[in-house]
Amino acid sequence: MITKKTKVVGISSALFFLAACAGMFFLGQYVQNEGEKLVKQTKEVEDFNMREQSYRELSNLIDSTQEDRSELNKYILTEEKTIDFLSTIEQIAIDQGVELTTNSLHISEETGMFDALTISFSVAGLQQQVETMLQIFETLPYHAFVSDITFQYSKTEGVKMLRGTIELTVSILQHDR
Amino acid sequence: MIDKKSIIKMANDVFHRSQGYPDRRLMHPRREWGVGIFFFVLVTVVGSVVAGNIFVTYKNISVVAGDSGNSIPQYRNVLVQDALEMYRLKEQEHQTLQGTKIPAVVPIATTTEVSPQAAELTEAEQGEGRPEIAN
Repeated sequence: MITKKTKVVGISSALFFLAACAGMFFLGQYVQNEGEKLVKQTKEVEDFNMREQSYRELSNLIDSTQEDRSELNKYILTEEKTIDFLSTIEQIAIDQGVELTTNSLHISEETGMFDALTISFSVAGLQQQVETMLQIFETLPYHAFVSDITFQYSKTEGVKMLRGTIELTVSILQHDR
Repeated sequence: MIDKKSIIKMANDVFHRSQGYPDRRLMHPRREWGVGIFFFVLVTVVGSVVAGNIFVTYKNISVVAGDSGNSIPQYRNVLVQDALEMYRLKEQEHQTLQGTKIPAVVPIATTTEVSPQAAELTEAEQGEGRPEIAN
């Protein structure tokens, strides 16, 4: 016969069982959530370590290549150095005893990080001096080349004279790109 | 009217249930044990599966050192060295050429003609002025 005590014991045992099941379920959920947090934290630690390693490698690369890059920078013309460059050209002409006049300056945009600076000069002087100056232009330590030459030869009292125009094209670095 | 099937059912009940008396027991040890063990096995199996799943999911968590090769720009050292070599040679040549200055050639305007008499006079004057060598 089912007594009151039997009912109490039955109900309490059922409740205990349900509580244990619920406890197990939430425990599983808790472990799952903590596991996800651990994965996220591990990922963050990995990302941080990778960023640190990248920074260290980049710093080492910058330090180890400082000299070469500084030297290479000397051979690259920028807008700031254009005035000095023109002064150098004029000084070369003076040293060689050639009359030099700058006719025009033109910058043409090109693809990439460099534009082309084209300078047109009028020159006059002894043939040998002008030719030496031309050779010096061709060996300028920049990414430069003589793009156009127009000369007129003449002879005055046995001396060969040369008059004409020289067009020099130099690559100029654009920092904005 | 009681049919044959219900008679057979009643007879089975009488013979199989404590010889005719209806079973009024509350506790059936075997039944209770069976149910209990069943639930125990069920909970154990389900719990094991869940625990095993969680274990497999998270057992390989570790901080792995990543490769930072793609995140830093590539420095093409060979290209840089080639460019430096080329520009150094160019600069050397440039310096050498700048060092050579072609002197300006001045054309000779006129040449003066000297008469033979004037030449004799100048030679005589030069001869008087020569020192005598003592023997």
